[in-house]
Amino acid sequence: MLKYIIKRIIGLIPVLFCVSVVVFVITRVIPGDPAAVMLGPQATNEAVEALRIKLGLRDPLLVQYGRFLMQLLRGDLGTSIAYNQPVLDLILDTFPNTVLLAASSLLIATIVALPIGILSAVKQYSIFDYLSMTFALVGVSMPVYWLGLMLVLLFSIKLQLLPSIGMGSLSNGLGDILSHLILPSIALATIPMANFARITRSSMLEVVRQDYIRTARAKGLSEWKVIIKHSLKNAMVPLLTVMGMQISMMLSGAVLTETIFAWPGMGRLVVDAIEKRDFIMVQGSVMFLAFIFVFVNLCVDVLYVLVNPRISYDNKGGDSSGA
Amino acid sequence: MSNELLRVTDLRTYFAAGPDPAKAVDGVTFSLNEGETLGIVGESGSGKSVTAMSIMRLIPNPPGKIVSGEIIFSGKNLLQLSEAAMRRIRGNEISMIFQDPMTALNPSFTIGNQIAEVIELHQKMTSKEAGKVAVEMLKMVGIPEAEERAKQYPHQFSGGMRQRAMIAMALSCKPKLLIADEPTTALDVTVQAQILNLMKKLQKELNTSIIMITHDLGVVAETCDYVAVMYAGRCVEYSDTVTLFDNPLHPYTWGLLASQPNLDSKEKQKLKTIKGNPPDLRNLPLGCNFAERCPHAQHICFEKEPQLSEIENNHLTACHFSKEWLSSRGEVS
Repeated sequence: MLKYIIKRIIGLIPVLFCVSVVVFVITRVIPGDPAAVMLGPQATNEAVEALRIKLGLRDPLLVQYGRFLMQLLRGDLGTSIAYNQPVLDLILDTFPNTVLLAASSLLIATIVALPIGILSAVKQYSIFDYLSMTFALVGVSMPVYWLGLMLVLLFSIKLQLLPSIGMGSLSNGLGDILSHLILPSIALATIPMANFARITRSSMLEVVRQDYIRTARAKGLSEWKVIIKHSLKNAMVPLLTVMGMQISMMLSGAVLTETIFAWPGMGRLVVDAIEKRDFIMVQGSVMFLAFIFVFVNLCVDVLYVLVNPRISYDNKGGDSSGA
Repeated sequence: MSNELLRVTDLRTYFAAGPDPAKAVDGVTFSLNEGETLGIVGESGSGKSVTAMSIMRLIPNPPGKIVSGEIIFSGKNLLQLSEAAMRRIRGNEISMIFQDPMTALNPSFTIGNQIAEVIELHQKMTSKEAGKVAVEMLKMVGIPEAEERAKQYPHQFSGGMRQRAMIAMALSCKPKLLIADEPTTALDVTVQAQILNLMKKLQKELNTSIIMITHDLGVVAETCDYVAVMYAGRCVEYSDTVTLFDNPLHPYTWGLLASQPNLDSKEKQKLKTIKGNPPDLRNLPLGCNFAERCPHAQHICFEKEPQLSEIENNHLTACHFSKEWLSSRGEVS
């Protein structure tokens, strides 16, 4: 197992290298001159040119890439042009907020979706099944920005129950942060929730038709135990895959939610950096997010072993032994 | 005579399939005594497995439904029990082993855990005690290094070992009745004999009755005291095993027996088959279900359904001409 993890981590190096090339190229080809944007429309050509030289933008691309790569190897993501602070510091300031939002969304999505998915599978073709899968379809197709605005309209403006922007402060107590967390979490949870419910249902439907479920019933187990113990664990593998993807996406792609609710997370940081043509910030944060993405996927692969004993990463050879 | 453990009377289990239900089991009657083995034979789709699942009351509903009949087990009519009462019987008083041990065990739990689960459930033991009994059971079915094996998962077992584990699981609560649904069909021939011997040995030790569902007459000859031959959802012949092989009285049973390969014949012969196909269970004929394929069928066979009736002592058949077959056999012998 440890050998497998080490092998996978070594395997991440070429992936991250490719990401670095793509990120570097994209930040260089997007239109807009960082120097001109930073100095504003009134700046003279000489001043802009001087800044370009200072930022290293006049060096050949290969030299620039080499510099970027060397910094990366030292764990240095560069210094933000717009904020004049190390990119990593800015990321570490905002990333925990994104993690908090993603975690609470994941919690909501799982708590709601799992029972719905299971019940839909157990009561296939019932009214509950049709209704919940219709809602799931709507949920999957729901644009987050629209849902976010509707939530704000209803709960913040009309009912005045919950705050609409920011994340509150710990100094006002935990309740303040929680109340700020509810609306963005629901908005961010909707799509994963719908996805989880659909995957749970289809995966469970496949499992409940298996012979070992008939065996479990023949043992005299209650239907509840047959479903929760014998079916769910076997249905978890596809769900885990989708969960891993959704977690990665929540961590890296909560841009819309964070923008609508002015949540001080990484998504907003990246959008901000793009608007300001802060290419150092953009390439640094995208590299960071790519790292998180592959890391979460690695964790999911490791988790498979716990859920499904047939998956083994040790090369032990033959499957069955004995006669 | 030993005590009667199970009596199934006029069992009918239908499956909803379009406008007409498929009559998978259509009026099956048989009985089984304590410590004895009843074989249920017949070709695929004759209703053998559905009969077994009906006794366990594990017919998926919908689409399946037990429409009528009686299943008297130890004096109780199983069809009138509540679901909770039935759960206390399943795995405890009646247990079951299935055809394919590859898929009948849960891949996500260890063998020991799966056996201990049923013991814990019915014997009111702690999980630790149940675990110990599970290891004992594995030893009893001849699995070497049982302590270690109990911690392994089904995919680490071979087919024969898995079927042994299934038997250990099924017998762990010392059931009065074991239903074995083609327990050797998916196994190698050498392993088949081991499993059958094991079942016979354990049956003697525990005085368990067995219903052996199979399409293999060799298995029947080797293990069963009584045989019920099923065709298209009905029991067409019932007798003790020796009588059935020596003096079968239903043309379908003749066909079944004739279709067995015979190594003694001097010339190489083509295997005999029963011509035609079983009838559509949704649209059964008016008369005898076998009439279309029966070489001896007469006018009455297409018009009137023959009832299962006793022709000689404890030998029942459902054929209009059984008595004639009996007397003609008598003349021959």
